[in-house]
Amino acid sequence: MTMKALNFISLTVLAATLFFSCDKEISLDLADSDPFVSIDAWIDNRMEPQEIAVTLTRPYLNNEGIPTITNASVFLYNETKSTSMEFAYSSETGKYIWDPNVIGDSIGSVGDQFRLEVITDGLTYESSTVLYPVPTIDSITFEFYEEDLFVDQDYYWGDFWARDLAGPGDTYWIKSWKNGVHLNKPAELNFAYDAAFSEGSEFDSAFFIQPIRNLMNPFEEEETDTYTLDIAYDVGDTAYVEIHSISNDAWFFISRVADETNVDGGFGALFATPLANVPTNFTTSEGDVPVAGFFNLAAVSSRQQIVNEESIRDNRPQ
Amino acid sequence: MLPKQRQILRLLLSIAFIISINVQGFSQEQYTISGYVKDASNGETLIGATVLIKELGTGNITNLYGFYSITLPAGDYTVNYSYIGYETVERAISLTSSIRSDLEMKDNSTQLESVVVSAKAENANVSDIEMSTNEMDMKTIEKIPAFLGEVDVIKSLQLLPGVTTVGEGASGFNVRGGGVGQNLVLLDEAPVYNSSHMFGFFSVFNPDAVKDVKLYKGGIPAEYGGRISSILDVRMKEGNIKKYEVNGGIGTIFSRLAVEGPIVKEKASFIVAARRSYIDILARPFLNNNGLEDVGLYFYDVTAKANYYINEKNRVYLSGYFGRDVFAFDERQGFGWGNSTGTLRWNHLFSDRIFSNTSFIASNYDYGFQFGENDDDEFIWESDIYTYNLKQQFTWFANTNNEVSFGGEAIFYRFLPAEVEGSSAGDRIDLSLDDRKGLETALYVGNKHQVTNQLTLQYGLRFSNFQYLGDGTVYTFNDTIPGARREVTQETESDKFESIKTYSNIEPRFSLNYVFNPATSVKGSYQRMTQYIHLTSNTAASLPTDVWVPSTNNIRPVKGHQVALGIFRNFKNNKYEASVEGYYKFNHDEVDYVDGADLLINPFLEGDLINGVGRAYGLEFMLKKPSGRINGWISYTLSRTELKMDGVNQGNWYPTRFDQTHNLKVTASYDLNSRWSFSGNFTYISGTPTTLATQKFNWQDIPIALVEERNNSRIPDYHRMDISATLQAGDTKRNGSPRFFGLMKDSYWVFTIYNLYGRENPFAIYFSPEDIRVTEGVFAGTSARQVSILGSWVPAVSYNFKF
Repeated sequence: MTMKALNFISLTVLAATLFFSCDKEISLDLADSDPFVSIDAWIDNRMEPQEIAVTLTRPYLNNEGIPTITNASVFLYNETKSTSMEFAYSSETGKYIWDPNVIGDSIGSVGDQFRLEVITDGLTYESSTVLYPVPTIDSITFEFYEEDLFVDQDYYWGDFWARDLAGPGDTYWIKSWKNGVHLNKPAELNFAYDAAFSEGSEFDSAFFIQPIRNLMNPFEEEETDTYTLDIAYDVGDTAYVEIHSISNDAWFFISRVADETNVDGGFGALFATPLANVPTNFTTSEGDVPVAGFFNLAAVSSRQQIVNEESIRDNRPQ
Repeated sequence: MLPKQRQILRLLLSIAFIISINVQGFSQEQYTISGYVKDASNGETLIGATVLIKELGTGNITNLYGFYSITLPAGDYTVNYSYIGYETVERAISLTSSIRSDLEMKDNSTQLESVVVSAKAENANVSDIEMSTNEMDMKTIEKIPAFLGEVDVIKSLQLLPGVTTVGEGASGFNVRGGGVGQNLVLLDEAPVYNSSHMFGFFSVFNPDAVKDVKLYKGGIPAEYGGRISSILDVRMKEGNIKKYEVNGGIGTIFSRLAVEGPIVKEKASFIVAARRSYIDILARPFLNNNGLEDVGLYFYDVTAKANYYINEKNRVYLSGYFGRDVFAFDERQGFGWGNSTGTLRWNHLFSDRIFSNTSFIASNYDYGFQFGENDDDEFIWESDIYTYNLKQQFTWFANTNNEVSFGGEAIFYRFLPAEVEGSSAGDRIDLSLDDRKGLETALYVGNKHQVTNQLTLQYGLRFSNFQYLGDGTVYTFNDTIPGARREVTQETESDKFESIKTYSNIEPRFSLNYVFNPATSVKGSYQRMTQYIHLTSNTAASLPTDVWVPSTNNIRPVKGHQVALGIFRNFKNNKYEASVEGYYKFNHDEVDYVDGADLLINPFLEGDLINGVGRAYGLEFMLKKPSGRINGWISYTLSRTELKMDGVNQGNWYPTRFDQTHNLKVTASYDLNSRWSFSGNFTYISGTPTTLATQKFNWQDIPIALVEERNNSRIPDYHRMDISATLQAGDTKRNGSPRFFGLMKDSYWVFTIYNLYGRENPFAIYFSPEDIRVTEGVFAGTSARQVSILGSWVPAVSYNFKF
């Protein structure tokens, strides 16, 4: 059971308890500390260019650009197949890129063991992972809802139908797009441990439970502290969903990211856990030099669906 | 029995033997005067009334059941019975044989001067052995301006030195730097696991049914145990044994009604008190018009008690509490919690010097939530803790100098952390976790020993034992990186009631009071307490969904030492009471959490908990004017509370979430005339610790905060003022004709403004990214924000009646 479920409750409780709370932006003098390397390496084995970002951390309240490290050496090793791939810096994107189409072969296949090595400023940052399998998405369906107190017009509510792979311990990151817009707000982070929320839940081999399979619907939380759903879908809209296989550690990383970034203000502050660092799976050649970021290599399944007569049906897979 | 346990039992017995030798050193013929002291108007027994033998200057205080017993050499004596707010009674007795002397005392509350803050002998704060304790009666609590005008026991306690909360909306309270779960909250001896309604805005105790509230912060007698910070002992009224009485009130949030009266006049009585909130009823038309007819948002509680005097030697009581909070979003989705308790008690006098109380107590706390639209897609989760407790207490009123108490208890716990049924698109899955069982037993012996007229000692020993019992899976965890989640290395299945792990502890208790003169005393105490069950919470505020877990093979019991020293001094013939107390606490095996700990429905919860040490120290100042037209108190606490855990802040001491350096409270009330009285209180609290971000990094365009140390900063200070006015409605109209046929002669209005100057007191500071969807080249900014649970002043009015 993660904070995600609790957030779900707290938001709903919030809707019911229109209390007197208030929430405002404040200015703070935060302690100075030295920047360090952060590596965002979430790549997959599709035949598409793969990107890794190597940047420096910056003061929390500094909202200027991200300081990018342009001269790092970034190598990915498929240790199972004994291949190596060099990611080259692209000044166009500010990221390190490797394109499988150049060699005409993917990074690797399910079960392969990988090691990522980033060298910059005389230090080596390393991380390893395994490529895990991913289930296919059977279908995406939409159900009709009439307007209610929270949504001021009729709408269609989408479900994606996929079953967790057999056996406990599979972890996934689910990404959704509506009409080409990536739903990437912190509140829209969608991740699963087997078909549900957490380790040991034994929710194995089932369809992803609610609200996981509904998080493909965009929803908004407005400033007024009332919990409002954006118009989820309308006839003619396009929904696109991807499932990425991730390591258990990467699942924990995302669940921690959700805890730390999807913070409820107002009355929801009662439910907040204290601010703490999210984990990293990178090690530094000099042990006491900090590093941030995470490495994951995913297999991906995806499905696209237009809201039409065929996909609008009762909330059940056929 | 293990050799160690046998040794301890031998130790307990030898102490009992030493006490018995000590108290038997009299050769002269001894007789006993004993009995119950009651309120003449309703027959309620009076707790803590002073019974003084004038000739000897010694006496006794009535116990929790209103009983006293004094053993003296034969002779003629004058017995003086006193209790603040009641007319003092003197009886001349000729003690040639043992005498039973029950007494009914008359309330003299018609006089304004008698408004009480403390219900004891006038210099009891100086002369009593007790230190670090606070007793409050309902008359005082009712005067304190309350949030939304709802009289509240726990909010009132928070005006006392050493008692704090992390803010509005937080459940429970913190005592001398201890966690919310380190307080044992007893309602007629039954443990109450969550003392709050509506998160922490209101407490579960119905003021109409409460007789006496006593909080032990230190110097805890040997008969109490099981939590390391405090004991809050709430005693329910017995019910008017003379005539029927109805009390009630119509407030902004609740309506209350209490009925009490005799079942058999002067033999048996009952009280039933109920409250219910009614926001949902008021909102009904609005909800119905918006297709939300199934939304429910309410809480209620019922408190009931009956008692029966079988004869002079036997009395039985049956009491219970049942309360529930419900947040239902529709027919199938919602969230709720509640406590229920039942206590069956038997008071028996083995002789006029040996008082016995036997109690059987059952208590349950549960919470649950449910979501999902239909049977095919739902998630139903319930969590329970059941407690069954058998308790035997004896008090032996050996002589005027010794009051010996001894007894024991056995508590059986059953924890059901998660009974979960889920289904997804028709696939049903049971996600329930194993239940956990524990047996806590304790034996104790203690003596209140008046060594000289100046020196009183109270010493005792409690031997406690806890067994973590099967069945279920027993996990063994590895020890990897300090402060990180531990992984399971071994799983074994245990048999039903198999003792998986046993802990035993000896808990010495010692207090002394040296009275220099009737207005001045010095008191000191030492206690060792053990806590075998733990409330796990890593949210900003303690919540109803916090999980209670037993000590296991992986979680050790928390052990706490406390020393306290205090000076008590009264001025102007007890018109002003002043005290200063200092305390130092050191706790072993305090529980904290790894970063990102998952405490709900987690079978491997133990792997997310870390053990360390804690310490707390402080100075508490109290100046009180207990009576007069203007009365009230000023309390100030200077304190610190810290933890030290492997893997957190490089193993250095760090302040806990509820550490408050300065804590000042002023409360006062003024009786203008027989109709109007006014009260006000002011609170100032230093900002509590919080963790501030230093830097950030991006993951998939989401900015994420980085921190260097836990609780490395503080939120701004908190201060608040509340006022209230009480208007006695009177029983006659201006023209002299009776109001409501003269029935409602004790009705009154209370007008309250909470947070008078509308300060937006900070509850928390948090860091969050801008709530936008980022696209190529657009980054979400980040900001720091401050939350106030109450952002304005809150007025309220309530009408209270009695007939």
